[in-house]
Amino acid sequence: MRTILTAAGLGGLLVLVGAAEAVAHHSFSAEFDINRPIQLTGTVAKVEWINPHAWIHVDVKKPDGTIETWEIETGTPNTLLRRGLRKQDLPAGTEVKVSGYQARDGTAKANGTNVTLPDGRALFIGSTGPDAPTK
Amino acid sequence: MRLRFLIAAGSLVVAGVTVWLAEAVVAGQAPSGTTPFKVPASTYAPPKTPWGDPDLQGVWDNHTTVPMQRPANLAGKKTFTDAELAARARSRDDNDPLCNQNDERCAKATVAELDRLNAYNGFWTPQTFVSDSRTALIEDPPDGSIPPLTPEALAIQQAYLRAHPATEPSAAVIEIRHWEDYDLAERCIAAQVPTTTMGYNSAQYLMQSPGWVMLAHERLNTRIIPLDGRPHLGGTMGGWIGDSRGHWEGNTLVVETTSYTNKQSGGSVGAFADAGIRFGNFHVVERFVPVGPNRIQYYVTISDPQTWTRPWTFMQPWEKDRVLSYNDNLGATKAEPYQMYEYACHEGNNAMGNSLRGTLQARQRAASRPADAESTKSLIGKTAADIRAMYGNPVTIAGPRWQYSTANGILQFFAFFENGKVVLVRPDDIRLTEVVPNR
Amino acid sequence: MRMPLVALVAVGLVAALQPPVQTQDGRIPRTSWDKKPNLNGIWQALSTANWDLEDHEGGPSPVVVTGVWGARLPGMSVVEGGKIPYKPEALAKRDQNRNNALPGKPGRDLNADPELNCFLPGVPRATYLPHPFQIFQSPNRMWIVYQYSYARREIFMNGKKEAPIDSWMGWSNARWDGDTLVIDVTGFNGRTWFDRAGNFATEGLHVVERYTMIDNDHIVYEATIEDPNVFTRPWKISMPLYRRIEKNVQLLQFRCAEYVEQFFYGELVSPPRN
Repeated sequence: MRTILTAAGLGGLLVLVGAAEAVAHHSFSAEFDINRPIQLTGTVAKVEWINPHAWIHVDVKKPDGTIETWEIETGTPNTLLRRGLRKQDLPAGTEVKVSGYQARDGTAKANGTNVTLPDGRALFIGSTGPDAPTK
Repeated sequence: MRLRFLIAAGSLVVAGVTVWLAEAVVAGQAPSGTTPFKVPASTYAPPKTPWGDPDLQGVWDNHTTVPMQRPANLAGKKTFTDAELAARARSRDDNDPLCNQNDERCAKATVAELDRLNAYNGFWTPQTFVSDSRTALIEDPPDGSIPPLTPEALAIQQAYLRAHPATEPSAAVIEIRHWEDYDLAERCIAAQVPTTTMGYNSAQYLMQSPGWVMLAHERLNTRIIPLDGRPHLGGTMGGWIGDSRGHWEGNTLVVETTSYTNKQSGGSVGAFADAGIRFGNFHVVERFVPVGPNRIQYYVTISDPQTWTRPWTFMQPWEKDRVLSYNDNLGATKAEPYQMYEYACHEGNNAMGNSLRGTLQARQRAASRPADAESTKSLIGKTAADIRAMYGNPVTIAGPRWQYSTANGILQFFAFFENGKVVLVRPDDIRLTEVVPNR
Repeated sequence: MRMPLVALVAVGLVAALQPPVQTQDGRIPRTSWDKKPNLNGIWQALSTANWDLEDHEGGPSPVVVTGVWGARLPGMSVVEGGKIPYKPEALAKRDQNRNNALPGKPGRDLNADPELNCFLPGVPRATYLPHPFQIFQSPNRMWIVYQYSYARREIFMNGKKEAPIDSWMGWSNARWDGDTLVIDVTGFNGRTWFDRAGNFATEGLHVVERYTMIDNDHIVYEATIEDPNVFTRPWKISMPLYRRIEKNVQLLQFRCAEYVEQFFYGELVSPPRN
């Protein structure tokens, strides 16, 4: 049974403070460029479930019609596991919208600050909301 | 007081004589006038392993939001009340800068909150923490501050930060030009020992066998601690995580660690020591004090008269086999005991190469940016009406941030407003003509 | 999954072990809690299987200037029957691996031998790397910690759960078969090799290890390997493991990620500003 990763709403996100590793991890500004905000829509080509960061490969159709594959960096796959998500839950062909920042080396890589389905429901968000997702 | 164990030849049964100590005084060199810190006693007696040691085995979690040092605005306040803790939890809920476009939450966001390179959002970090009402992890000195560095250690640290500016925690320019600009954990080599909380993947599996304790940290470190009284390795043979020797004092596990490498590194996730500190002369004593069936109070005393003017002690509560409640994004709440998974850090470390290549590229790009007058940088100071006249209505508005698209369709353009005027643009180095008007 | 019984056969140059090995009560240490063999301790293999599981002669170093430091050591096959039973197309991939094992130029190359890159060795390679490892055994718990890198395995005693995720070191479910510890390992990510000679498997890899203690200081280690994507049938390796009996012996640090930084990143460094 295929499950689509969804969550509704943005309720209840906690931001860490204090000595713990902050969500705004300072090394990410070394890898990604705050001066290069990006937004793209494409389909999932594959998911690399590797530590320290899982990568989602997204095929994006450019204005000239060619396909460019973007590699989107997300968090640790161990977190996905603990939430009951498996590799097969984000199947190839799933349409996603990604906003984030491009890699500083100018290649087709970005961090996935927000990864959403086309209807706006967000993947990888902290809690469920009142409109529970359907399969 | 050290305790010695008799090890019967040909058998792995350890027989020992234990003396219950009412208090344990932490060894360390204290300047005259400083009272050595006393770890509070615990009357809880855990079950025993078959060979007679206290049994502390299991997966221990130390996720916390308590900072290492007491914030200045809480000076003198050691703990929060229950009401204060509840209010803090609520304010964390509200304090989410990662609004989606057109979300009402964004209306309250400031420019600084929106102009942040968060790697990804709070989904990836656990949302529950080991209960702790304190305002700081440091127990000694009582003011909750790390003691001052000695002049020699400060000079060494400053030289290190000059050579590796990216490791300075508040560095304005994060430019990784050499792999040593990243800290030990980002290099996938080790985490500092002792380790404080990491934002996620912060558990440790405590395993015991006759004569040994093994601590498998979820990320990077496996510590193997013999209990048979053998001497330390000496020198720097302990490497990055030092060389540990353990013994039991009643039900408390006491671990002494020395022989660290004298190489320096950055501050690191889960670090207790900042960037540029040399560990080679450290003497670390950890005390694992069981206070309940699923709770340990973990005290760490660090002594190094070459580095700090006096020893200091921090404490973190650890909880065992936590049943973590997750919203699984599918409408269900799951609860299951914490399972550690493999953390193959080095194998997937693309960030290092990406960052180094990023610096090479960024320097080349900076050399060929358009003149300010022709670039988006010239939009700073313009009014909302000016921007509308040039580009039409923004594609989306998120609080103070207006968004437009650019010629390649993927790169976006942001203009941030304060008091009706543009105060910041991203990117600030593309041609004005690259921003696509939204008509 | 049950493996068919295969009798050990000594053929030609194959180094065989005395089959089948009987343990005698009283000759091996047993735990006080369940009377099972007590495998606690520090162990190490002495074979050169890490160079090549099959028969291999000695030879010069692939990096000439390392002289005899880098020379290849000779060894007899640890594979029952001598040869690994590859499917023909998979054998071509093995030979390709062999050519790519040591690229000989700076930069991280994901086609090279994972050990060259300080990547995790998987199972059974972790057992016969030239490093000691330590077994920790307590009631219903076991860990194996290897000196190499941060390689370690949680061994689930009487474990039944399927591997929830693919990993380098696999997911280990163990049970006792009399006095033999049997560890069933699945959930591999397909990235590991068996040796420096390019012998490999895919995510279809399934390994069944058997640890049989024959006296206080020796374990007979056997591993049955199958991967229908690569091999025509399951095959088996075996070798003794020796207890490290030196006084105060312990695992030391071999955090090789640091040792390959110059190799991976030397050409990507920017000069310091000012």
